Amino acid sequence: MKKTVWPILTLLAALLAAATVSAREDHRPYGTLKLPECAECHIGSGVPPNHGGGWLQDHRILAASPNRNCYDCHDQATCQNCHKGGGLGAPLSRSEWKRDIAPESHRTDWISIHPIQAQSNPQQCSRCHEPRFCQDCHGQQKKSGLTIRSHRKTATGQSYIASFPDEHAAEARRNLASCQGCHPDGDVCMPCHSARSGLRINPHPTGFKGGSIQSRTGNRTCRVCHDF
Amino acid sequence: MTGRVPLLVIWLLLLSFAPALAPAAEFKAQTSTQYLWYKDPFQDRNESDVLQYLKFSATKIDSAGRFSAFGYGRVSRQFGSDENIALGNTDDILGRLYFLYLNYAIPADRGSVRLGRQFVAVGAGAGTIDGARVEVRNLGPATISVFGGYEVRFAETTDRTKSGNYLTGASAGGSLFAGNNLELSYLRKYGDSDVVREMAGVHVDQTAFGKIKGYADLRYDLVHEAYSEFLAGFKAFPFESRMITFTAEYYASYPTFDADTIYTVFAVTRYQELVGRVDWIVNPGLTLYGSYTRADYDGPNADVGTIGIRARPKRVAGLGINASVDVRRGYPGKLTGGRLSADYAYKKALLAAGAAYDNFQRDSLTDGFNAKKYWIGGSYEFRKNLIARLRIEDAVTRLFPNEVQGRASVEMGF
Repeated sequence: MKKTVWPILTLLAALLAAATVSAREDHRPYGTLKLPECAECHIGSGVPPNHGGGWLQDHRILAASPNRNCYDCHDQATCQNCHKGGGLGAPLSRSEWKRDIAPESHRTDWISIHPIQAQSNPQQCSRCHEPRFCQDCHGQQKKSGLTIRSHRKTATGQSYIASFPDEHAAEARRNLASCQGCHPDGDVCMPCHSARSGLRINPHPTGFKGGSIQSRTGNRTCRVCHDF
Repeated sequence: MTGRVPLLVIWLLLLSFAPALAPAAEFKAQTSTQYLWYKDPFQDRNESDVLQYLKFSATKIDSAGRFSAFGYGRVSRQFGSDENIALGNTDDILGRLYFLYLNYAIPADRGSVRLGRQFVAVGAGAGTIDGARVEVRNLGPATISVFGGYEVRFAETTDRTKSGNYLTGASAGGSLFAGNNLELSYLRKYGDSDVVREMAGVHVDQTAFGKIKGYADLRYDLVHEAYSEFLAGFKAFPFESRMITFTAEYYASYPTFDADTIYTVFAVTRYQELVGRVDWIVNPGLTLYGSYTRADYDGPNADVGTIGIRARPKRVAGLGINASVDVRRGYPGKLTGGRLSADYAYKKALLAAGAAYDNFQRDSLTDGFNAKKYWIGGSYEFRKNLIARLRIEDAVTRLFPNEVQGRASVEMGF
């Protein structure tokens, strides 16, 4: 893979250095305009309007772009208020989650609805939250109170996971972060997936690049299941 | 008081008073004093917090106007709580410093050097650091950015910044020619001094014919040697007289984990989605939007639709209305929900209210539920830069038939 990626990156960098100048528009004079006025000018200039209906998804790419001009109208508080719960100037429409202000994406009964959102795109939550954020709440849950189907006994009294191992595997692969939410150390995975004992079922993906992880973490992660 | 908090408060105060040492400096600040009350779902009882926010900017600190400083943070105290630090329940004073940095503007609009706590973002990733960032602009067509420092991990209680957790990165990008953007970026994250994440990012977009913009964005995980995220799409705005934008996107995600967790070695499934969206600004007082997403989870799939409206009718000056309906069918559950809110500005007062409804059934649960939320709020501007706000909400949730929360605040600017 490295053989193909690096030459492409080098070529693109060289193209950048040799290219001609294209000015970045200074938006500071337009900071007080209404969005429809912005859109009118954008369309007239051949630039797609933004801050529309899909802005929650769209802004990620634009905010990281080298020619971003977010700071012409916003300061870093705009980012931190949504991503990290800041509440200075919070709109009246925003709810709270304890002392933090919740973003618009968090719907009515967010404690019950959030698994739908978390499972719909597993990388969405981690844009604002550390894995530890999940564990802080999920670590408080009592096992007896769980209504999640996969964690209940089957009709015969057997463990669901033991009875439907394939379904457990598929669910875990689709949203492994939800497993991490309650089992941060992965200790419940070890009886079946450790290389040292138990069923020794290999959890690695096809073409697993273990050496890459091994070299960066000094075997720290690998030693959980393997002897070196 | 948590260990780091006094230091943060001292820094805030020092920087707040620094402009006094430079007579020419322009100093602006905003404060917000808030009282929050809410139900704690884990303790099944009411809690209340007092928060004090401060945001400031000090510009033209030096005679050439090159140095400036910016800060934003808060301290909070919870009353009558059990000690459960993990959930943020403590009657200790807690601090959160969002940013506090000194900015030096390089002459001739060539970029800036920032030192202190700040939010950094490049195509390969984003984060908050206690460190330095140098951004050099107008190098021909290119902008180059380099940053590094301690990584700040915000938690319920306070920051989890510690020795051994670092975040470094760089990006180079710019316009090759009119309407084009290209960026190459790199991000490396350390946990306990080991490399736990290493990402490369490539972004390219091109606007053509003044009517269409195509874009592609890739995040490549160098630790797992896998494409972590890929997005490609285009936006078309074909009409000169009508402000309609069509968006079509393909997005794929392979969720990898930091290398210091055992989950980093487990197989995961690639997630893919196709999105179609229309945004139509009918007139300055009316915006309509709608989208459809087809999501694929390597087996199960889902259909998600949204339509919405934002209106500020000319006939009733000061009135604003927002409404949206969301429908989801398929994995990992179904949801039908709607939101409606309105606000009305009269002289120095603003009155706002809203309602939301969600009928949902998660695949993993044995029963569904109808959740409801109602809120009302208002603000009044007593004088310029002095605003009082009050908001009260009641929600019907699976856990509580009445989950009441409220927020009262006074904001000042000076």
